[in-house]
Amino acid sequence: MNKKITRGRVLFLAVAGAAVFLVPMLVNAQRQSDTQTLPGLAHEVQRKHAQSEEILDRESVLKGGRELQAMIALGDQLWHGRDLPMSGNGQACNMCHADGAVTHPETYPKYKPQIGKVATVQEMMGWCIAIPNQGKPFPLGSKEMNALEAYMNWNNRGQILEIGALPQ
Amino acid sequence: MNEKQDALDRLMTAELSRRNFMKMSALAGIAASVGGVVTLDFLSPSNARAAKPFNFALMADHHTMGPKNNYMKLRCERAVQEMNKLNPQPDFIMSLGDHVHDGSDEQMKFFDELFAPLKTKVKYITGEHDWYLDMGDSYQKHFGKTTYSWDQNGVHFIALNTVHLRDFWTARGLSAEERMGIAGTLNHPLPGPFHVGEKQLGWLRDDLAKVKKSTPIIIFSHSPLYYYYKAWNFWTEDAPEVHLLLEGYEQVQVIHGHVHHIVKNRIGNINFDSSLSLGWPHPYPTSGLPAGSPQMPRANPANIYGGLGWETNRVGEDGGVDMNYREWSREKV
Repeated sequence: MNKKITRGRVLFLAVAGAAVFLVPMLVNAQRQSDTQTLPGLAHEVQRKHAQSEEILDRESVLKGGRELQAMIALGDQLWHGRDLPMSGNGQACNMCHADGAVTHPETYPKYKPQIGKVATVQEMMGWCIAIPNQGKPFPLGSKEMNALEAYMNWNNRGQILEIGALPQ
Repeated sequence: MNEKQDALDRLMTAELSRRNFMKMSALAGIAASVGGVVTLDFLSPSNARAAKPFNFALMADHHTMGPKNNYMKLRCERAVQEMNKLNPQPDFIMSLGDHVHDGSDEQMKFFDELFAPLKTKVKYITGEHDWYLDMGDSYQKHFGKTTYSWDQNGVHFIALNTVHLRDFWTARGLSAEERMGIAGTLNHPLPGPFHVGEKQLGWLRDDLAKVKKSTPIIIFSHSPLYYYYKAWNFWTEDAPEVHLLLEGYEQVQVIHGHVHHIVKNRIGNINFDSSLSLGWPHPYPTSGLPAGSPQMPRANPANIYGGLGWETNRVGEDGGVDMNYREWSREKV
C-alpha cells in the first residue's frame, strides 16, 4: 500500500517537474526563433530591454527586424558612398571610420566645438558629410540619416551609454 | 591631467626611436605576445655596422584624388614645403605607396605635379590603391619597378610589393573599376589578405644570398609585414616566410605604410615601424596594439592636418633607424 503511494507520488512529481521546466523552455525557444531576425539585439538583450512581453505581437517583431535590417544595409551603402550627396571630394565615412570605428555614438548628445553647441549624433554626422566629405547632408530625421545612424549604432552595439563622455 | 599631457607631448615631439621604443617596452615589463605571432626580444646583441650615419625621409598613403579633393592637395603641398626646408636634405625620400586613391593615370599625373618641386630624389613602392585599376600599368609608367634593392652607406635596402591579392575578380566578371573599388576598401570581405607571393619570395631569397649577416637591412613594404588586424587587412599572409629568410641577420628594420597611424612592433630579430599617412588617419583596431607599441592621440576631424604627417629618419652606426614622426596635430599650422 505504502509502496504504491510512494510510486504514485514519485510519478506525479516527475510529471509536474517536467511541466514546470520543459514548457517554459519550449515557449522560450519559439520566442527566440521569432526574434532571431532582429538585428542588433541578441535574444537576452531584447528580453532585458522589453517593456512588456505583450506590447508587440509576433508579426510586429518580425516586421521590425526586417525594417531595421534594410536600414542598416542602406546605411552601409551610404557609409561607403564617395559621390554626392554623401561626398563631394571622394572621401567616404568608411575611410576614417571603417566599421563605424571611433564614432562613439554612445557619447551623444554632447558639446562639439566645431558645431558650437550640444549636438546629436545626426548633427555630428551632418557636419562630417558637409566639411571633411564636402557633401550635402540629408535633413535630420530623413530616411538616409536614420539609415546612417542605424549602421553606425549596429557596429557599435554593446557600448555603454555614456552621454558626454570623452572616449578613451 | 598635466602628467597625461606631458606624456603625450613626449610621445609626439621626442624622437620615437627604436631605442626609446625598446626602453618603453622594457620598462613596461612586457613579455606577452600579441595574436600568437608577436614576440619581443630585446636582448639580441648586434655587431651590425653601417659605414656612416645618414638621413632619409618617408611619406606614405597620400591617396590623392585629383583636383576634386583640395584637402589632399593641401596636405601634399605642406609635405613638399617642409621636406624642401630640410637642411641638409635627406639622402633620399621613400614613398610607401597609395600615392593615389583610384589607381588612374590622371591621378598619378596630378601626384607627379604636386611632388615635382621636391629637391631630393624620391623612391617608390606600390600600395593596393596604385595597382588594381590596371594591374600596375600606370604605376610602372609613373613610378617604375616595385621590387628592387640597393646598397647605400653599408646598409642593404630592399623595396617590396606586398599587396598581391588572390584573384577575386575574374570569376565574378568584375570591371576594372569594381576591382579597384573592392581592393581599395579596407574592410571589404572579398579580397582576403595581402601576399608577398612565391615569385617575390624567390627573388628575396636570391637577393639576401649576397648579403652578409652583419650587414644592416632596411626593408620597405606597403602593408605591415606581420599579422596586425585581419578585418582591415593590416596583414600580410606570407610574412612569416619573409621572417624566415631574414633569420640570422643582426640588424633588420621593416618600415611600412597602409595603417595610417603610428604602430611599432618587434618579432624575433626584426623591428617594425609604420609611417604616418598624408591622406587621413585610421583609428587603432579594436584588437589592440602590439605589446609595447606607443599610441598616438586621436585625430581631430576639424583639423585637416590632424593625425597626419611624415618622417625624417636617422640611420645610426649600427644600421638601426631612429624614426622622427612629424605629426601635424602637434605643430601650429
